[in-house]
Parts: sequence; C-alpha cells; structure tokens
Amino acid sequence: MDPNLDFMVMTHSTIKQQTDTQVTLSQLSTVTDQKLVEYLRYSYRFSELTALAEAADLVVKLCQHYRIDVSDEECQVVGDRFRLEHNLLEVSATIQWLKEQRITLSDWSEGIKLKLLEQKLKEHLFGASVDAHYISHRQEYQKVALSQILVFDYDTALDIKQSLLAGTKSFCTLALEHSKDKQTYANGGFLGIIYLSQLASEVQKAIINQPVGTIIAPIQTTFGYRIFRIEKWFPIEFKDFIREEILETLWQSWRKEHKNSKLSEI
Amino acid sequence: MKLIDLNPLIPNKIEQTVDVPKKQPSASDFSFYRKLGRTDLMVSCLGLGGGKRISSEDTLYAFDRGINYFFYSSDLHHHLYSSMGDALRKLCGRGSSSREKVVLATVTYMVKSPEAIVASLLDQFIDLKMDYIDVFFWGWIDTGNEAAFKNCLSASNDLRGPNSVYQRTIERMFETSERMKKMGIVRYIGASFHSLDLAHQWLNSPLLDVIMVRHNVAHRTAQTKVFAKLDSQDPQRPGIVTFKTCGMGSYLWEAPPVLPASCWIPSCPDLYRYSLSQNNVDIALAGWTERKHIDEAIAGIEKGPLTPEELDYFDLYGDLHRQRLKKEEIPRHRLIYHS
Repeated sequence: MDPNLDFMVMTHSTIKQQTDTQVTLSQLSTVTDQKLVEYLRYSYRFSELTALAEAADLVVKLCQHYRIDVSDEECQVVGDRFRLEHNLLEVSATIQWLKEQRITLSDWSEGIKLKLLEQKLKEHLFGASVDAHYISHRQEYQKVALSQILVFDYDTALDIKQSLLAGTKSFCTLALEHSKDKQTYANGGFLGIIYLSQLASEVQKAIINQPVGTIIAPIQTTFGYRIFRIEKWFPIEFKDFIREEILETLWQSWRKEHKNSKLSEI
Repeated sequence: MKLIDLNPLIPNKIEQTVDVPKKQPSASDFSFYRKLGRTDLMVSCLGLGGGKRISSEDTLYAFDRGINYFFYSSDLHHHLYSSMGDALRKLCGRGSSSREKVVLATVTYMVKSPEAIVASLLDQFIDLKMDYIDVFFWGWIDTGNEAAFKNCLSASNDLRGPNSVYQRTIERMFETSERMKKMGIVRYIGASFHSLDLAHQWLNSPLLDVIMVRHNVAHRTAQTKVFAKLDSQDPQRPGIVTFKTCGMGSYLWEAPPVLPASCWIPSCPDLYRYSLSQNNVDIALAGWTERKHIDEAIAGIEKGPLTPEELDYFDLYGDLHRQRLKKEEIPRHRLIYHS
C-alpha cells in the first residue's frame, strides 16, 4: 500500500471501518450509473435534471416540427473547436477525457447535436425579432457607469451639489457622509454599470447625452433626492453573450407560454 | 463524429484579403500600394470615385492599370456613380474571382440614424450584388449633422466584422454566402468630413477606421488640422483619403490670372502628387472620366513625391488661386518656371 494512502486511510477512520483496508480510495469512488441515479434522488436534484431532460426532449420534437436539422459537419466543427479550446489535441487525450466524463464518443456527439439544435431553434423562433428589436431600440442597450448620493431633503441635495461643483469634497466623501442608500453607501456612492433602460425615465432624460463627470442633481424620486455623477459611457454594442441571454430568456418565456399547447397549435 | 489528432489553435485573424498588387511602378519614392492606416487593406495611392460618371469599361481599365480602391455611392448622386456599377459588379459581385484584389468603399449620405442603416445597406447589396463592403463611409459630415453622425458612428461595432447584428439582418433579406460569413458585410468604417474641425475631433476614435477630407493646394487646412495630428509611425492611426485634390469650385490645373508667365502650371497628376506628398495621406481620390486621365495620373505618381521647394511653390500657387496675393506681392524666389 502507498504510505500516503495508508495515512489517508488511517485518518479517515469511518471509511476504514466500513471498507476493506486493501481497497484504494480511487477504487472506493467507483460509482455505477444506478448508484448515480440513486444519489440524484436522495440529494433532491432529480426534478431539476428531469426538467432539463424534458426541455431537451422538447427541443428535439420542435426541431422535427420546424424541420430544423444539424449536419455531421456542423457537429464536427463544434467538437473540434471544443477539443482545441480544452487542449484535447490528441485522440488519446480526448478518449481519456471521454472516459472521465463516463460517456462514449457517440454520447458526446449527441450532446453537441442537441446543443446545436437548441441554438438553431432559438434562432429560428426569435433571432430575427431580437436583432430587429435591437436595431430599433439601440438606446435601451446603452450602458453607463453611475455614482449616486440619496438624501431625503432638497436643501441637503443642493448643498451637496454645490460642494461637488466647487470641488471642496469628493463624491465618495460626500456619499459616505450623507447618502441614505444602503446599497451604494458602502461603495462610496458607486451604483454600478447599468443599462439606460433600467433607470427611471426622469433620470434617463437627465443624463442622456451628458459628458463623463457631469453632476446631475437633484432629481426627485420615490425615496428622496438623488445626485448622480456620470463615471463612464460604454459604446452600444450587441455582444454575442448579451444576445444569447436574450434568446434564452425568450425561450424560457416561450416554453411557459406554450406549456399546454399542442404542436399543431404552435 | 471523427476523432483525429488536431493542430494547436492559431489566433484567428482574418487574412490580408487584398492580393499582392499586380503593378509596382518603378523609379518612384512613392509606394504605389500602401496599408490604409490601421486597416489590413493594401490600397493603391490613387483611388477612383465614380462621381464624374466614369464608364464601367474605363473603371475596369483602371483596375487593370493597378488601381484597386473604388469609391461608390448608392444614394446621393447615384445616377452619376451608376455608370461604374457594372464594373464593380464584375469585380466585387458574388462569385467574382477578383474580389480579394479590390478595396470597395461605399458611402451613404442619406442615413441619419442607426435604425436606417439596414435600408441603405440593402440598397447597396442589391445594387452591387456583392458579399461585403471593405469600407462603409458616412458621407458629408458637417456641423449641421454632427449629432446624427455621432449617433450613427455608435453603431460601428454592430456593423464591422463577421456575425454582426446588421450582417444577420442583411443575410435574412439578401441570402448569405461563405464570403459574407467570413468577412462580415462591412469590414471597416469611414467618414467623409466636410468640417475639418470635426475630422480633427474624431481622429482618434476607435469607432472610425478611415477618414476622408477635402485637400488641395488652395485648401490646405487639413494639413494642420488633420495630417499633422497623426503619428505616421503609429500602426493604429486611421487611414487618410483626400478628395477634391484638383479643385473645388475652381480648376486648379488652370493658371490663376496673376501667375507670372512661364511658371509651372501643375497638372492634375501633379496635384495628386501634392496631396500624396503630405504626411499620413494614404489615398488621393480621383474623379477621372476617361482612361487617358488614368494613364496620366499613374505616370505622374511614378515621378515620386514633390521636393520641399516644389511643395512650397505649390502652396504659393494655391494662394494665388485663392487671390491671397496681389501680383506685386508674389515672392519671385519661390516661383518655379517650366519651359
């Protein structure tokens, strides 16, 4: 027996008591598929995985319905890209990886095919409308980094604004001295990077087209008077990950909406 | 799925797509082909704009002579540009074997918002039946449309490169191609400035790859407001294209009334040389109307850049065109005489 392993076994007395002392830890960790299913049941993850499996099944059926297919070449491109990105360049390394995943090459291919089908389905259902919405509502995708100070009375807000314009105190100092907003107080007033569309319309109107560093104040909102400073504007850009997030959201909504629909009704 | 050993990943950079030029004029200090600023485009230092109704036959002749930069409008003055359309469809249309040898620049003067870009692009793609545009220009940028320009320019990252939102939209309307997939519908963004102050303001914008300005011997403000503000060694500087090199409103190849007799009267090719002799100017855009002009221009470029003395004389010549000096005020030592 490996002396290190011997030490491990000695220290894990509970394991030692339950098992043959001649069996290694790696052998102990061998789990059959049956045991895996049992584990998922008693760790309360069965329903979560069932939902995912149902979603996958729905993707396949909808793709059949819409005549969406994936070619072997497309799967090959995605598979090769995955291997390149994960440094599985050699066949032997890939086979070892498949073994570790407890799947066959065929299982992996099916998984890739399913992902591609899901992408194509989302694209088929929502791609054009997502792009068209973006092109027509680009301003909603404008991101800005903002700091804010929230106070309850107008006069204090005006005093803070004057201090900021005079440069006698920093925004951070004034936020720590006066701000009543718990979320941003600890960050010296920094609100974060947010989409313009997430802001109340009166705030949007006040900050749009204003240069970086501008102090916007005071704006009356439900909770009091807010003083904003524009930290940075970000170029509007429809990055892939944003688009994928939107497609996923639409897909989830679509599934809820059509939960009780028949394929023929879709 | 097949498993075979793979080669390591090499950074995916779009290859230089403009082929090695077929023509390399000799006996010249000018590099006839040069990299257009920070773009990957190799361009001829003379470009051909279609605003003077050049025929398609002569456009193809220019290409055969080594000109590879073509400027085309699908909206304003389209009736003028359309006469070169057949040539551009032949060179840049789908399936063309010459596409990678051409740098196609198109311009829109009418679009005032990012929302309207799709319609303009679609017009251009239908008109030229092409896969992609090398440089998409915003045209006639002046103080009057500054806000609209800024708004349009904010869409640069949605326009440039493969798989952009505008590409997907055009693909749905116009059918895609392997070339379009690979290159995107637009490779680079340019702007044609009529206001040099605005050109100066946008010189270092990451949203703008190519800047086009008016410049000639009589209108030299671009030299101080634009060219001098760029570092010729900076690989990230924008590409610079000049236009109206032979005159705007007046014909600079005709002698001003006060020019002393026997003084050098620059020809159009000389005037292109003047613009191309300025630091950081990559292309002088020409409005040729016939192939004789093309031959003359190329022959002129083969003479190389103007000397400092010649440049000084051209400045004086330009001032005389602008009537900035009376005849008796002309400094004789700056004159150059040609027999």
